[in-house]
Amino acid sequence: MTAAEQEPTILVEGLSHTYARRGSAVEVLRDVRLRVERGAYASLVGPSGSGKSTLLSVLGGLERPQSGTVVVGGTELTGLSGDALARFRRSTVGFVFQHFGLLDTLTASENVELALTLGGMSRAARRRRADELLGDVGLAGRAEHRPFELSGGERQRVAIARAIANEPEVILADEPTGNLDVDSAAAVAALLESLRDERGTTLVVVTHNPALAALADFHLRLVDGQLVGATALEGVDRDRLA
Amino acid sequence: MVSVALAASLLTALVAVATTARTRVLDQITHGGPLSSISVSAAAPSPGQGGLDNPTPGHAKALTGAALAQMGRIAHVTAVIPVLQDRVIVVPPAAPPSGSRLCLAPPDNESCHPSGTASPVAVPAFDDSIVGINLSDRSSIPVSLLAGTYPSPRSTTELDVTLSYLSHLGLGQQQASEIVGTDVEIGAFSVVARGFRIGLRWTTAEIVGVVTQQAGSGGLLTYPGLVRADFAWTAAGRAFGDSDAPKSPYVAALVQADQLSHVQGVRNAIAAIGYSSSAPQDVIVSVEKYLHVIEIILTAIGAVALVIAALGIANALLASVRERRREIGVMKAIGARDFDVMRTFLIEAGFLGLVGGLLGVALGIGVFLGIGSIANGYLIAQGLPGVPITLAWQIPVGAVLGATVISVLAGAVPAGRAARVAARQAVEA
Ligand SMILES: Nc1ncnc2c1ncn2[C@@H]1O[C@H](COP(=O)(O)OP(=O)(O)O)[C@@H](O)[C@H]1O
Ligand SMILES: [Mg+2]
Repeated sequence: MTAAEQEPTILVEGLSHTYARRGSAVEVLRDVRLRVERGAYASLVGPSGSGKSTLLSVLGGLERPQSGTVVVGGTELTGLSGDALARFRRSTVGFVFQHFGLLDTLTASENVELALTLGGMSRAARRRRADELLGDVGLAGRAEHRPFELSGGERQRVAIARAIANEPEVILADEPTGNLDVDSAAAVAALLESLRDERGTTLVVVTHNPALAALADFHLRLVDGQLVGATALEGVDRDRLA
Repeated sequence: MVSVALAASLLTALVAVATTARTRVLDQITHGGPLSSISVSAAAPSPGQGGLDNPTPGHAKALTGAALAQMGRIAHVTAVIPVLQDRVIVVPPAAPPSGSRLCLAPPDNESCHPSGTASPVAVPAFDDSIVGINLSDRSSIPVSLLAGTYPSPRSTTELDVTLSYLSHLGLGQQQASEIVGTDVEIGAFSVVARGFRIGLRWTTAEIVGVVTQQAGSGGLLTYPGLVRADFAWTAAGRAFGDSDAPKSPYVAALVQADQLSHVQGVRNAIAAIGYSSSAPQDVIVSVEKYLHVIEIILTAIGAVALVIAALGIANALLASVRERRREIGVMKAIGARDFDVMRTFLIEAGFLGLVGGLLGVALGIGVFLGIGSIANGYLIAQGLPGVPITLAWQIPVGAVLGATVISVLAGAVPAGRAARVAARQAVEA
């Protein structure tokens, strides 16, 4: 192992996050520490409103870290400009949402291409790459379909194709199977697992789905703004990575 | 977008109607001549009236060739067109041209009784004046053709007549074309011997057209050649004691200034040379002011409609931003910069404006053409010339551009809002 490979993909120290609400401040995250090695799969649970989405937002550059250090994929996120954060989101992380987050007016292919457009790829190359990605998620024939013509599971797979379009190091998923039936959820879970196994993508998945959580290398739990769980700091299950 | 279309159509139609009305009104004032034309009369200026459009002229004063040449050298004068005039006796033809329904012959002419009903009347000779002016540059003289053609420049035997000639013959404007092609005898007076013995110099001329003219006062109009010859004949009477014989063939002149704002200066210079002049400058200036006000009002109405439409666009886009917060968050989550989001909304606003503007201009042109043909129908029914229904290309292009630009401006606020939507919205419950 080289020094660079020993660096964890996600390293968080002393992260607190406070929302100001009608004069009073609500501390959602309190002194969170987290270390996730390259290619690890972490599941994250916690009661509603415990700050899971907030933590994911900070890791994915949707929220600026308010304190401490957050390093993701080698990028220190504290103090980045808006455009630099956008560049980070485009190249380093991929998001998967419970609500899929597809643009209703665009076809499956165009939704995937949108991520590539923002990456500055040419039209023809974009088209080819989108077809390839849709093939990878098992939707080869559905490129021209719009979201309303696809089932929930298919939409989520389009969203995953879009999330991996720019080959991110990290996939952040917020309840990715929350709106899916059991069979679709299983297909999405398998797809996420294959990302880790075939591409070495690091995964942080907020989920209450036992099947999906079961695939994780270790489990994190947010309680009262603090991250608990024996594996929280040790990181990855060394046996699995070896 | 519908509101943008309606506003753009309103703007196009109003501005087009306003500009057409303006052309029409100014044409009426100048009788089709240029706006900056000054007419100089053979009279001294009356003191203190130099600024009036139509001052009472002072005492009569011959307009000499030398004075005209002097006027030609005034700064900002582009042309001096002399108007010649001579008194003549006019003798209408004794027989109608073949094929004509006119009957100008004495009662014994059998051809005048085709149905045996009308009783033809011989038209006696009458006194009139013949006006000579260079008819080549017709855009700068107050003459318009009603029937036939203009005389040919080199001929001294072709002339046009005015409606007064027709009325001498008991004819109306409707019969103008029938007079074309007939001959007329004109006789210039002169005192040919002491004791006021009158001699007449006769010319037979062909009437080639019927005109209205404001250049001089006379029922016959032609190029200067014929008038000059007649004048020479009349003026020769001076040698035999005709002290009333005119000293100059010029009764007036049309002086053209290069632009309306120089008319007053040129008129002052003409007064300094010693002649009275008139020009519709003040009327034109004040009419232009009123027309301008009307244009401004109509344009403002259209513009207000456009602004209201733009506010509609802004409002619709603001609602869309509110509705699409999560979508905007998602776009940011997959890497869109604030600028990318803003640009998306600005393009959307511009597109709405462009399409609305194009639809609106098409509609507005239709409305304008409709109004134009209704107005023309009315004018023609009233016996007035119609207006040309043409549309300057600047109007539709301006309306489309205006609609697009205003829509983009209206989109600025919603676009700014969209750009500031937090990326965090993507994972909001
Ligand atoms: N933009 C915000 N402004 C104020 N409070 C917020 C904002 N976003 C989230 N919160 C609050 O922060 C807490 C954590 O939210 P979130 O991270 O979405 O929780 P979870 O995803 O675990 O349900 C909740 O109480 C929520 O109401
Ligand atoms: Mg949440």
